[in-house]
Amino acid sequence: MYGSLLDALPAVLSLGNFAAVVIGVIAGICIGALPGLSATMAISVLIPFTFGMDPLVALGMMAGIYNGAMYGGSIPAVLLRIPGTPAAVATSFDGYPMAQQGKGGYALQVSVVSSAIGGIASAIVLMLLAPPLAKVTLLFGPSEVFWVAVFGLSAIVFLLGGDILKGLMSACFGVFVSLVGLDSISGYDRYTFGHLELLDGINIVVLLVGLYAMPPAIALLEEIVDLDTSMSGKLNTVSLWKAIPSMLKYWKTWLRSSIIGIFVGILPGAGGSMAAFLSYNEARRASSNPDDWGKGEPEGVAASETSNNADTASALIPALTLGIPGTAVAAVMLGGLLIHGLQPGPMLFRDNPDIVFGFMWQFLFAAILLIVLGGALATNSFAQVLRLPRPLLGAFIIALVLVGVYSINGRMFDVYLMLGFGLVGYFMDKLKFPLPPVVLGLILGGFAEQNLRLALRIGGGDWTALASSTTSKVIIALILLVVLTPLFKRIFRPKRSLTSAS
Amino acid sequence: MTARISTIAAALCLASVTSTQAFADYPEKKIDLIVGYAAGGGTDVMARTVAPFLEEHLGNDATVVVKNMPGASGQIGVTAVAQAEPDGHTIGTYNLPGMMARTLDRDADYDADSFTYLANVVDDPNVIVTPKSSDIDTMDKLVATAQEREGAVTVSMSSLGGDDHFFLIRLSEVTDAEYTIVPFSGSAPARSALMGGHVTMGIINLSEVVNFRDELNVLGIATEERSELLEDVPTFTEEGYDIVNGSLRGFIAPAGLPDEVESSLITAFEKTYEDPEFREAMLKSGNPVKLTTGNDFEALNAEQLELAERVWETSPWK
Amino acid sequence: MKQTASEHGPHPDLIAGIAIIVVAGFLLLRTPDMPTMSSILPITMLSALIGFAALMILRVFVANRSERVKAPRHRTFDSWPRFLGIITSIGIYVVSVSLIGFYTTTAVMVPVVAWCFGYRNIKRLLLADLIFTGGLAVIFVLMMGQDLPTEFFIR
Repeated sequence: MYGSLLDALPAVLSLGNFAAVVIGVIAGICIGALPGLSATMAISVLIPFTFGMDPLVALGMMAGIYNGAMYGGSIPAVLLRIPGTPAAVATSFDGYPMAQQGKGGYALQVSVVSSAIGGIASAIVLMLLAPPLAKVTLLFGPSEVFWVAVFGLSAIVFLLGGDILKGLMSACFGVFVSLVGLDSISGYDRYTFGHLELLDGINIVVLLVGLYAMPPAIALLEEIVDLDTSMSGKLNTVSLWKAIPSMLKYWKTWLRSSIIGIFVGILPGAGGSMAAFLSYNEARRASSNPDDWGKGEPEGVAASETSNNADTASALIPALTLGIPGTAVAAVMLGGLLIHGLQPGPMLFRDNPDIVFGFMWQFLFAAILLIVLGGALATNSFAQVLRLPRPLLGAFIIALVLVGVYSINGRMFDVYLMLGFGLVGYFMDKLKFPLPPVVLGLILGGFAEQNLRLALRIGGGDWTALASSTTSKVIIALILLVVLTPLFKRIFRPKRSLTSAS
Repeated sequence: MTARISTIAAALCLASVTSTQAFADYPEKKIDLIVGYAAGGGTDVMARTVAPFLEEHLGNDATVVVKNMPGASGQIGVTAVAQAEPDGHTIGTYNLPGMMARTLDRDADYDADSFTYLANVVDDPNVIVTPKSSDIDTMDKLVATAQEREGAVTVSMSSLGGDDHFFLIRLSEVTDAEYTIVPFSGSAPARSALMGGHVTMGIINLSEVVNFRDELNVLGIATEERSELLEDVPTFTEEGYDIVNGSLRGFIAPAGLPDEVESSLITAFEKTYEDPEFREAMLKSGNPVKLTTGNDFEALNAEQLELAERVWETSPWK
Repeated sequence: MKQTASEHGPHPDLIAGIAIIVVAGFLLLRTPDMPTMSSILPITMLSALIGFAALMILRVFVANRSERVKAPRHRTFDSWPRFLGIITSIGIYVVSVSLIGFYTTTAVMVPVVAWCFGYRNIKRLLLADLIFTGGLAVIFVLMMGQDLPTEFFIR
């Protein structure tokens, strides 16, 4: 198999195929950077267009867009506190405070380097370990996936923010939104009010854009000072190559977050946002100064960005070998493979090794190109956007958001829905209801419920069946360890360290 | 060969006899081919594979533009076709038994009479699979296990009210046993849960199993004759269980299409089906083809609706 | 604390709490029709929302009397008229996109909105508008062949 890996290389390096990756990365960064446009939308718009193309050109473009957008999403997250993609929510926790302190340029540099490292690690794992890791995916049946979702939900504790009551309400709202649509197990339509458009559930991009992009857009027009672009417009950057040595101290976070991202990627249906949340949490837990997190700690940006790129290529492991995509973007990319007659499964590796392995190389190159293109292109030129007059910027964001949401399914319904969420988001923002729990609740709420119920069906209604497999037991032990350790620490921690921390 | 030429000739004759000015003019503008799923799905790939052949065989510089209207498992798209102007410039993809089942379990804005049935192109039969590690590797062993204890056999499948669900209900009748349904969302997750050994058996379609031959036991196929894609797998009829069932994908237009337009479209589909290049493209995308056109397709649809109604009455799935 | 701006009038948390209880209560009314397994999680979430909202309301009242309980007042609007103006213009924008078409509406609305909300340099405004709308058109029409709501004059 490693032989065919090398055989696939020359085709990838041919001019047309390589250019496709370069174009993809640049386009991806721009798409990710524009609030409202997401990688999922961009690739789904691109797919029909690639029908007549050579497979490697099409796939290279998609690999580039995917990697580019995962980094690009951090640009508005850092500069405007508007995550460009769902996975960039955790990046805004520390990235935006950094920008307010005038360190936006450094935040973006950390982000681009971390993104590239995550992407490279992920691509290498995809190239070398895809078949064995696919076996790991198979270990995860509904009960095991349920526990992973519970693990993810435990992160909510750290996202509640200052006002716990409001944090909990945000989480409940997120979970509730995830329940809208057809309940695939009973076949009942929950809260669709007769709208066919709601049957498939509410697309996360619609909610995210509504909650995160609309309130700042309104604020830009309303001219409230708390969204200060004057500081973040000045990036104060030194050249990327000079900045890299100062980042090397994050190597532990890079390693940890890469592993988390890759692992989340190979799980069926979990996705990049969960990877970013989990690794942000773990990095904070491991940090010596957890209290500085959320106030502009560069390591937070590194953690979130490493892992949301680390699950790009690894999400393709279950997609290519089993046909089950690890993330929403991978799901769309699977469509991109199918349209070229590339059916997922073990046969794919035997019948079309040139294309499959070529595609993997393209992921690797896209991740490497990210440093060159992202570093050169993004850090300064995108900050120029923020020098635009505020009312104009606000109007642009609203128009972009409309395009992005409309293009997901080509219908106005999603736009109306997004505006509804925008209004909710505006008031949540003003009344200081934290937004991250909503996103986490939406990603994991319905996901956990569905897997729990499938597991119960398989076990014939027996709750002990949930913990019967070894994999389940390991995850449960992990959850207990992670959730209980801080509690014990708090109980047994000497009083003085508490006072000195504050 | 001669038979094929004569069909085409007959169809052409029929078309030229009945055709008036309208036939010569059709199509006057681009034809929208509405697909009820996102780009890249099985139905979408079928539509995109068919489109260029259709353009070629319709003649008159026809352009066929695939338009995706995803949502509600195809219902949004098919409703749009049902409500479109019946002038032949809007046609759509059609899935059975799904589209007819939706008229039972949801408030659908269309019914069996809303369409002109053009051509069914893909017939993707159901298969029963078990994990390679499982010792249940024949139908007899499976049925014995299922009859031993009610609900002991867990079945992963892609959804409720689809072809796999109807198949299971037929299986339940024929084998006189109760099975536990585990509905995943989509056939790939259902297949993966099976490969991981989390469920006893799975019901999927032929096209979803061909790339996983070495990882799965295929116990039988729900066709009348063995499939050329899986020569060594016996049909259920051979094994003594009389079930023929599958997922059908084809093309429809709104009801009330002018006769000339209808026949020129059907002829174009027939010519497409005879095209060896088309056969090869469909094989490559893993779609087992079988052509049923016009009235035969309508009869097929009625048959599927009847099956769905029967199932809905005895064991509604929601 | 700089909350003097809106000390008068009911506490915003109070209004939010009541709104949440009303909406969640209404949604709760639909759960009895659902199959039991489908209804468990919605009932849990909606009841939790109602419970938390009630606590939040309670907190407002307790906070009025006690120093220890905090229910911070957050400023909701900078100015009502501006907010309403923004909401209205977004509404007009979206509706006319679906009626008149995306590019026409965007080309007209972007400069108008930006002008209304304080950017008065007409030359630059029109240039920015041209680049923005033109750019979108190039990307979506020429490069991607993607349909946005169609213009009224080419329908």
